[in-house]
Amino acid sequence: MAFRAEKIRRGRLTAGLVLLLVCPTVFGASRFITGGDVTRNDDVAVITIQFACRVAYLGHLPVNRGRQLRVQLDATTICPGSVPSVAKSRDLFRPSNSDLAKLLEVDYDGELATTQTLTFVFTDTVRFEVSYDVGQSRINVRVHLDEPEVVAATQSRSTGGVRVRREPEPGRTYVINLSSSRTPHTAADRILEPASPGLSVFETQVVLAGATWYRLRLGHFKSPDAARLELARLQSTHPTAWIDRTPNDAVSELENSSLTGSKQYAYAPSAALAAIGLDQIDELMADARLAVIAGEVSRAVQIYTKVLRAPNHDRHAEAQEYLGLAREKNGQTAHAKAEYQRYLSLYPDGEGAGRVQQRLAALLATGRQANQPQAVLEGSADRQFRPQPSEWRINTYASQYYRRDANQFNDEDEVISQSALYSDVNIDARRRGSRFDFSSRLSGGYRRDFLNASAGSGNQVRVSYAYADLADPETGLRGRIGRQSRNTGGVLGRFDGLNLDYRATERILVNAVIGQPVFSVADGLDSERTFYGTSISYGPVFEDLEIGLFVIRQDIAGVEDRQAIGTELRYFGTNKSLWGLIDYDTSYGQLSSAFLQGSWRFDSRLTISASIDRRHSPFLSTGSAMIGQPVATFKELLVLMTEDEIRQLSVDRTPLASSYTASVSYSLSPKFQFSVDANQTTVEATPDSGGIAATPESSYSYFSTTLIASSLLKEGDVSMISLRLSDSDNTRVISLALDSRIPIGRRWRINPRIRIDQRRIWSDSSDEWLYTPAVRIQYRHNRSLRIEFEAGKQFAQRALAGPDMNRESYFISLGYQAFF
Amino acid sequence: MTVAPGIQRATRLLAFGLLSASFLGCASTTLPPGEKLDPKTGVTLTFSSTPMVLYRDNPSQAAFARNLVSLGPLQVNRGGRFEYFLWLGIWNTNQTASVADRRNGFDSIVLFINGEPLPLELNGWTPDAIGASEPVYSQPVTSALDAYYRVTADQIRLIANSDDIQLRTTGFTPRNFESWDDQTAARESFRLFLSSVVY
Repeated sequence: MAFRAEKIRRGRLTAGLVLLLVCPTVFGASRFITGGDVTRNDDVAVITIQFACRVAYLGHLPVNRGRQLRVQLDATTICPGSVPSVAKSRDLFRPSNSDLAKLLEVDYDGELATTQTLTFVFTDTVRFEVSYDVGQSRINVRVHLDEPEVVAATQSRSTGGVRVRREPEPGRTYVINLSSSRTPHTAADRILEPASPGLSVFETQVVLAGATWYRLRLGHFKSPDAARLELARLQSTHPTAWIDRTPNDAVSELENSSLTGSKQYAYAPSAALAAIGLDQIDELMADARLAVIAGEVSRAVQIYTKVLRAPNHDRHAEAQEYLGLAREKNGQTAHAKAEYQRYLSLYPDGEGAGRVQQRLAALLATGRQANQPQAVLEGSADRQFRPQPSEWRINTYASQYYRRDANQFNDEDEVISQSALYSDVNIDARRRGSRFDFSSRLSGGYRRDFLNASAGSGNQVRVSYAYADLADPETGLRGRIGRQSRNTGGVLGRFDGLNLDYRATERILVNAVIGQPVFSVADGLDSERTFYGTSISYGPVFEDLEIGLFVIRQDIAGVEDRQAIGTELRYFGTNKSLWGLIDYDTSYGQLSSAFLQGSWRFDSRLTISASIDRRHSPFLSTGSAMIGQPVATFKELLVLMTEDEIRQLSVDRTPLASSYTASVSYSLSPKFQFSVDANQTTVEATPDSGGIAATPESSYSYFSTTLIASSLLKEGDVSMISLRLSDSDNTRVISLALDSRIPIGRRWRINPRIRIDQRRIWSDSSDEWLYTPAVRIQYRHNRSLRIEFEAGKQFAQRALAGPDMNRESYFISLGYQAFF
Repeated sequence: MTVAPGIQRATRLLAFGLLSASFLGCASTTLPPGEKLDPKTGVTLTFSSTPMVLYRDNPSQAAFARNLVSLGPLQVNRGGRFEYFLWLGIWNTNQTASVADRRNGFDSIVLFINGEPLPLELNGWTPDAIGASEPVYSQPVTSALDAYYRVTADQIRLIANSDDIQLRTTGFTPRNFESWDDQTAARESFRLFLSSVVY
């Protein structure tokens, strides 16, 4: 029976694992081609294919004619409603009414390593145009079904068929269709430099499928060869241009019955660019801007190029910058880099030099631009793509602050409580290799205490981070070793050890960790405690929910310190958010920590939130039994007590604390924001045990209101006033704080503030008043250096039954931050 | 070799969770950026659906007590004039700290994007700082402080494409915030934001 149960259990587990593995492909097996249709009007049919993901159009072959049309795409991972991996599939599709376009089928192949291909297979040779919107999830193919320029003259003899070129028809002329648009073309579009004289650029209108199209054309050519020659020359600037025939009766297109109208423009001679006036330049720049906003980035590139080629105006620098931007938006990363570099070489001190430098740095740093497929950026989603390897990059941050604190009681001598120099440094080194990404970080500080040993805290070295990190995007593995910090997986913050991540899918991250906890950055290795654990995080689920599960075990001196399972969840919706954590100790059978916090925005101005927090404080662990015991190490405690006694002691020393908070915030106006918070916290009593006296139940509550204001006195200033009432078993404190920050020019910030506290001390029913004015001044020398000065003084007056107790103290700090 | 019952239970729970997660994941997506027209100022605001999260452990208060910073991009369109901002939602899981204490050091911050420092100056604590009449992002808790910093689209791109983000506040007692473990959704959301607003 037991064997059968075990068999069933294994079967379920196997089924589950199989389901788990196939889930992304089975349940997420939505098709890449989500739909499509064919419409036809007279001799033109339009095929529209809709995709599950956004795509970038790369090119197509043949250019405008054939029985097969192969469109190269670059699919992104922006796939609303579908898993991004759907782009890595194959799909065969036949739209409804395919016969209208002589379309047999559409074949999508996303399994290629480099790009994806969409192949249109026609039943006959057709002439076509491909159109697309940058970054959209559809592509259109216009099929011209009138008659092909080259026809197959098939002889029905056994010798087989031969292809013959159609001779130009007498009386017919040809035109080049430069572009088609739903809106009339602008002046910028009409500027061309045709090689042959006698040509003109004109616009026609045609109604297709009920929609008016504006066609910008160049003509007329006496033969198709002449048109082809010109088309080849225009290919770089008009990649989608195609050749059309004029009607048989050789009348102008204006009189053609199939057209609704035509407009002819004066032909711009080769010197046209030189004759462009300043007003026209402004118009071109405005047109280009509109083109970018409308998503017609290719057109914007053309316009900016024309502006750059036109002499005698002062907007070259601007056009050069925007040309780089437009090319970047158009997916032409290499061109964009070249344009930015050209800008910097031509206008090193130009107004936009800083911006351009930053954009260029962004392109170089990321290896590619943001509009390119996300798969490349994700790494895990498409591991065959890799950004370019980079050289070593080392960034250093350093700061030094001198701090001096002094106190004076009544008329006694001043006592210097602190006089120290705090030096901190953070060195970050990283390199992207052809396969592995390496990074490392050393972050630490040194406190130089100028006081003598009896008065000061002494010198101190702190190491916050010291780790090396190696990632392999190809496999999704990442390892980090050294002093580091983790926020999930049940790890309680900083530790020394090894952390391994494996990105199983784009949404599943599996982790394993082993190490020794670090309770203070001034500590060395904790040789007594060791932990290991594993976790999985998943998200987003249901749009904005991320969840994690963990198992962790920690030992202290060979004894189980804590063993926990738990979950974490995070939800951030447009109007609601939720944050939660549960840590359950399976060794003690108790909830170590549970926390849930949510907010809800009712309208754009009013938000309410609430939180519940129940935890053992200090944290429930066997090592907590050391609290109050006359031992330095856990091993010493093991000598004095049995393990069971120690475990009971740890429960006694870690009472349960419960905290409830509710708050409301309201935006009074753009300049004023108001919030109210209320909190109640209780800590359970602890028993008398292990030589430690019992403690009664205690409680603490507060109520606070805050009003924040912006730009009251001058643009960019901020002010804050807050009132807070807190009540505990020992004291009741009422605090009023005023805080302001005023910018002076671009480099200076002054931050005056004052805080007034009234403290009622219940033990002797005395009142203490504290006044704390302070000022902070910041000076930003340049992007790499900031200097700060802060000084404040506190006056404390406490009225007692005997002589009053007055105290004065001040603090000064002066320091800088620098980046290298 | 015997395995502790607790670990057995935990492993089963983890496997169950994993399985459930994979089922749920079949329907998962990342929302596109949000867009709203400010009813009073008339500016068009575009924002990402999922902010990034940075954290700082605060073990002196309690285990799992954290200071957190949510970080989201914003585009403000004033009749064709585009400006970009970073929104920071500054909050704590343990809300006992006063507002003044929480905002200390956020007047000037330094973001380290893959180690590269990006110093940012506060533009303001209220929507007025970005020319809006009401907050754009919903606060994680109402006691959270909103802070707005002016950035460029390229700086947002750097953030979106980075593997590692840290934030350091200024002042005598600077605080370091680390990137939350898994920011996949947030990064994707940032990229969606960029692809819809940046040219």
